[in-house]
Amino acid sequence: MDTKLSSILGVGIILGMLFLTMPTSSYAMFGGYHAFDTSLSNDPGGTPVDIRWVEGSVFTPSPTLDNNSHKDYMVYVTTPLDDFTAGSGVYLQKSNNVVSTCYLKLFYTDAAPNLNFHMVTCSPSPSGIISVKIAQPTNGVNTWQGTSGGLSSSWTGTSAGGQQALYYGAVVGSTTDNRNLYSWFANLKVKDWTTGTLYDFSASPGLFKCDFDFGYNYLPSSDNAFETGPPTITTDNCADSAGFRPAGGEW
Amino acid sequence: MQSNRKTLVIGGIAAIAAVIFVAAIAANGFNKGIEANAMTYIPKHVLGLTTGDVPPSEDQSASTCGESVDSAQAKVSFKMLTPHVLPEGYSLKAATAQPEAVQLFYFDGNVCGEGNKSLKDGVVKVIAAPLTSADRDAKDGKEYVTKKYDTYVGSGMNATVISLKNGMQAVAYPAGVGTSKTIDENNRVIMEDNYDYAASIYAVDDTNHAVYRVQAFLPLEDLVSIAGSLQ
Repeated sequence: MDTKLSSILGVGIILGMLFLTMPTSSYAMFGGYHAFDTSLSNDPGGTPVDIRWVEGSVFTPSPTLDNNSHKDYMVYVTTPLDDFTAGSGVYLQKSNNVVSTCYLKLFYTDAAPNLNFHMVTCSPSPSGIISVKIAQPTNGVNTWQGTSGGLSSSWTGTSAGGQQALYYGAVVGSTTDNRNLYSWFANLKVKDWTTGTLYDFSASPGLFKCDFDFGYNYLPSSDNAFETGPPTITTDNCADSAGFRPAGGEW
Repeated sequence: MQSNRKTLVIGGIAAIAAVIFVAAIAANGFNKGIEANAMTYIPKHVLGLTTGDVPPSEDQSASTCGESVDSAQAKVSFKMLTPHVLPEGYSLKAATAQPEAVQLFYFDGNVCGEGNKSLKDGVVKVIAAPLTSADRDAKDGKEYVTKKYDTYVGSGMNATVISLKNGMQAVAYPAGVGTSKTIDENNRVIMEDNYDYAASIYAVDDTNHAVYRVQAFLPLEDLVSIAGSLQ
């Protein structure tokens, strides 16, 4: 093999190597990534809890509403894999420029995310402080019972019966950026299905988390509801620093 | 002239041979240590919301929360697979474990703390659980996927059944606009309005009997790439 041919072969091999290692415009190869461990505990004793029961008190609000819109104030649970959510509380709507305030006996979304339902009673209307609860009465049976004031409604879903709730707590459903969550909920408690322990959220108000999702303002999420270390989330974004607001009044 | 052409042809063959040689090495796992951690990044394309939802706010500096994948893995009985394809700049930002469920959050910004971002900002969620807790009656991925597909189609959704690159059976639907109905005590619909929901893909790993849901306001083809890279 002459020198010229050797040179060409060498250049060819180098070009081939370069071609293989060159990133394209759409797909670039990089090194590995690292997971992070913040050493924060998200549950008592480091054991995950299985929440199927949330209860609390809701102050009947008088929010500003756009015409043909609604707002929900409810305790809720939602399961990890499906689009299932169930809740109960207070429901307000403005239709044809008339505002209705209703007991939200049950809110639910089944396994398909494109449809949800609010089961309400608007006459009589709720006022003042009402007790609300959403619970799965029987473990493994996908029936959920919601209670608002003295009214209740239940519904059996098509799936998610064996799943544990991933998020739970209190939520204001709204299409506007409203973070006045603490103004409207009190005495929030969740029950661990496995141990039967009823945990009181208000024992650790600084640990609540405000989490936006789909325009819904969740409080708190399981991420830090039972966090035992220093809070990483302040309540400023979702709490009314003056404490609970009295019922009534525009905000 | 002819000699030059000959040498050019030989040079070209050498270049192709080099390509094949290196590709063969990679295919044989010669450098498995690097491959195991390799990531592929796809262009970030967050879908806009179509209803009057909360607009994305300004990005915050990235932070992390929750626990590590290993810590979450220790709390569940199934093997937690992680994606090796992500939008450009994304990395794992949070992991949480529930009884028999793990949730991972991937993003290029802050998903926890003040100013945290959520799905509507482009956060990618990967949720995993045992097949038995997702559907107690489904024998395998095919049955689970078929039932879910029927549910979605029966609800009027544009669902698709997909065989992913990693061999998993999957069912997926694109992001869309849902309807909220309010029903009074007389079963009358007294209100209807709309909301946005994110795209999702449910992939079943029959080897580990686990279901993985990838959820994001991203194009469905991006979710397919991400779910297909779970390993």
